[in-house]
Amino acid sequence: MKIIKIDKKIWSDGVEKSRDSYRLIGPVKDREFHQFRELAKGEQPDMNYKNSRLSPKSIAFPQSETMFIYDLDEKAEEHHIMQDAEKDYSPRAVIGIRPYDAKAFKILDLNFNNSDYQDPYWVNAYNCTTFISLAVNSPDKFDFSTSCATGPFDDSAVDVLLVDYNDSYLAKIMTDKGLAWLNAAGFTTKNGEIDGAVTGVSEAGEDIYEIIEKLKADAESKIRSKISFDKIKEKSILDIFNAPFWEDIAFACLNCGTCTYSCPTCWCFDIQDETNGRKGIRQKNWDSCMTPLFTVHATGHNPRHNDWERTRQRFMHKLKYFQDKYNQGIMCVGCGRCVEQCPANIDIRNICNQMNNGE
Amino acid sequence: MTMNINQSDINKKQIDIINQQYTEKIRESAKKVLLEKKVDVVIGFKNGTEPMTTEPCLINKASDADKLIWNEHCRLNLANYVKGRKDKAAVVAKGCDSRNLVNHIIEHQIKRENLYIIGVPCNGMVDKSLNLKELKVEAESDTMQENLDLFPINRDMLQDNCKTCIKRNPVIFDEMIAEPVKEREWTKEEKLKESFESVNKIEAMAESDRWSFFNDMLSSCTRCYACRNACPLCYCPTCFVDESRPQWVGKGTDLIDVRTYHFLRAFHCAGRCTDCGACEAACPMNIKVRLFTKKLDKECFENFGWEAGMSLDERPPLDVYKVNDNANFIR
Repeated sequence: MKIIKIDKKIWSDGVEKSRDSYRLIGPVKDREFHQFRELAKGEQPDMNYKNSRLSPKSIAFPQSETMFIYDLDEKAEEHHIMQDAEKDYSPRAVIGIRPYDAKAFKILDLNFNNSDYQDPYWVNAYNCTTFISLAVNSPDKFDFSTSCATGPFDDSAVDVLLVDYNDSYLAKIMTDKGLAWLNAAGFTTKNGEIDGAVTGVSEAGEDIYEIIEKLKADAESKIRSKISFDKIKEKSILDIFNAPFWEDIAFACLNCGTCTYSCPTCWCFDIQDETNGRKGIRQKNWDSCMTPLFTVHATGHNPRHNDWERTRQRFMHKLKYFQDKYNQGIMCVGCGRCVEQCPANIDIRNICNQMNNGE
Repeated sequence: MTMNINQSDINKKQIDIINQQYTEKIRESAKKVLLEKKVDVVIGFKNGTEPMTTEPCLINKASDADKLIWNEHCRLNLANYVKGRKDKAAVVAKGCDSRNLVNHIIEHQIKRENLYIIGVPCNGMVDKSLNLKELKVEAESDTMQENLDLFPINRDMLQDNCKTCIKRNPVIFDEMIAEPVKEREWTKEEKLKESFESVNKIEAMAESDRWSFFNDMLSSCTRCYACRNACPLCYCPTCFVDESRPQWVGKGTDLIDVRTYHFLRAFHCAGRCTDCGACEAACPMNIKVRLFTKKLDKECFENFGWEAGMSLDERPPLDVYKVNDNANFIR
C-alpha cells in the first residue's frame, strides 16, 4: 500500500480533470444540510463538511429507482411489456465519503449481492463506483463508529483514503481502482508510477505513515460513545424479543421513518407500479419497518400491529438477527445520524447496551 | 444605547431557576397523583441522552417520578401520547398541549374524567437547531428589557410558533405547577399582521413564485412522516397515504405525491391545528411544514374568529353551521 501527498492547491484542478473519465459524486450543501449527489461541471465536493444529513447509500440505493417502464396504449409497439429503464453505469467516483459510510456499502452488499440473490441495480451501481474516502479528523458527539468494527480512519471499504493534513491530503491507495482515479486526476504520473514527478505531488516518506497513525489515534480518542453487543449474540432470540424493556424503550418513539431513511445500512425496499395516463413505471422505493404498511397482510391482519413491536423489530434486526445470520458484527456503522435526528430521542446506543446487559 | 453583553447567559440563569422549580413541582404532583391512585400513569418528559434533548416518558410508580424534568427543550406535544388511552393518565401540559387535549376531548379521543392535567405555564421552546452556547445576542437595552419581561428566553432563540404564541398557559388543567405567565394581549389586527406574517408573505407572492417556493421547500422531504406522527391531530386508523385499497398517493419521491401528502394533511388539520410546532420540531430536514397549517389557521381566524382548542364548549367551525357564518361561496 502506498501513500502520496496531494497539495491542496492542485486538488480542485485534479478533481475537475478526473471528469474526463469519471462522473463525480460528492457532498454539497443544499440549504442547511449536506447531501451526496452528482456534481455538475465545475462543482467541487465540499471537503469541509461534517456529515451528510442522509447517508450516501442513495448513490447505489436511491429512495426511488425506476427499474422498468411500460406502455398500456395498445397502439404502441410492445405495449404491456416491461422494458428496462435506461441506466448509466459508466465509471464514477464518490469523493469525500466517510470511511464508516463506505463500510456500510459492504453491509448492504451482503443483502443485495449474495449467492442467493443479486440485485442488478445495486451490483452495477456499486461496481462502477470508486470510493475516494475522507477520514474524519474530528468526530462529533454522535459518532460511535469505533464500537462498530469501523471508525473515522477505517480503510477497509475504500479505494483511496484521504487524510486531511495541513495544506495537503495524504492519500492512502488501497486498491487499483483507487490508483486509477488518482491517475485520471493527475495526482500521480501518467503511467501510474508514483515518483513524485508531477508538480505538487511528492512521494511520502516513512514519517507519513506515522502522521496518519497519530491523526487516527487522535480522532479515535475523541469518540466517547461506546456500545457493546458481544452478549447479544449469546442470548437467545426469544429472551431478547420477550424482554420487559421494549414497551418502555418504545414509548416515546413516533414510528416515523427518520432513523431508517437516514441510516446507511437500512436496506428494506418496496416495489410499486405507478401509472400516469397510459404510461407507467415499476419502481423500487425505500421502505421502513416503522410503518404499519410494512407488514400489513392482504387480509388486513398486521402481525406487527402495535407501535412498540415495530420499534423492537428495527433494533432486533440490526443488533440480533443480523449478527446471528451473517456472523459479521451488527448492522450499524455508528454514524450517529439516527441519534442526532430522532425527534423523540430514541438512542440506539442505549438500546444496544440495554439489549446486551439487560435482563 | 447598545449593550454588548451576552444576553443568553443572563437568560440561561433565569431559565435554569425556572426549570428547577418546575421540575420539582412536576415530580411532586406526579408522586401525589400516583400515590393517591388518582391516575394509573403519568406522561411527561425526561432528560434525553444528549444536552438539549428530552424524551417523552411514561411512569407508573411514584418512585420513578424523579425521572421527570422540565426545560425549554420539551418541544413535542404530549397530547400526542394520550390519544386512545383507556386508563387514567396524568399529563404534563404546556399551553399548546392543553389546547390539543381540548381537541381530543371535543373529538372524543379521550374522556376528560380520564385525564389529570398538570398545567405548565410555558416560557416557550428553544429552536432545536440553535446552539445556546454559540448564540450571542447584542440587543438594545429597552427592547431587551421588554423581551425579558415577556420572554425569559430571548425571543430570537424561540422556535417560530412560540414567537407568536397566543396561549402560553394551559386552557384546562387540574392543577398548575406555577403562577400563570403573562400572556401577550393581541389585537385582531396584530394577529393578522404579525402572527400570520409568514403566511402573508407567501400570499403576496405571484402564483408562479408561490408554486416554485413550495416545490423548493418540499424538495428535501423524504416522506418519513415525522411531522404527521408527531401531530396530536393525526390519529386516523389508516392515514390516506398508507391506504392501499385504493392507493390514493404514490409512494415514491415524485413531487406530485410529496405535495399531495403535505397539502392534504394540512387541510385535514384545518380548524384543529393549535400551532404547537411539534411537526417542525420533529422534521429531520427542518422543513417549515407549519406554513401550510398556519395558512388554514389564518382562514379560520379571519372567517370564523376561530382558534382551535381554546374552549370545551364550542364546536370547531368545520364541524358546525351557524346562520351568520361567512359563507359567501355558497350564497
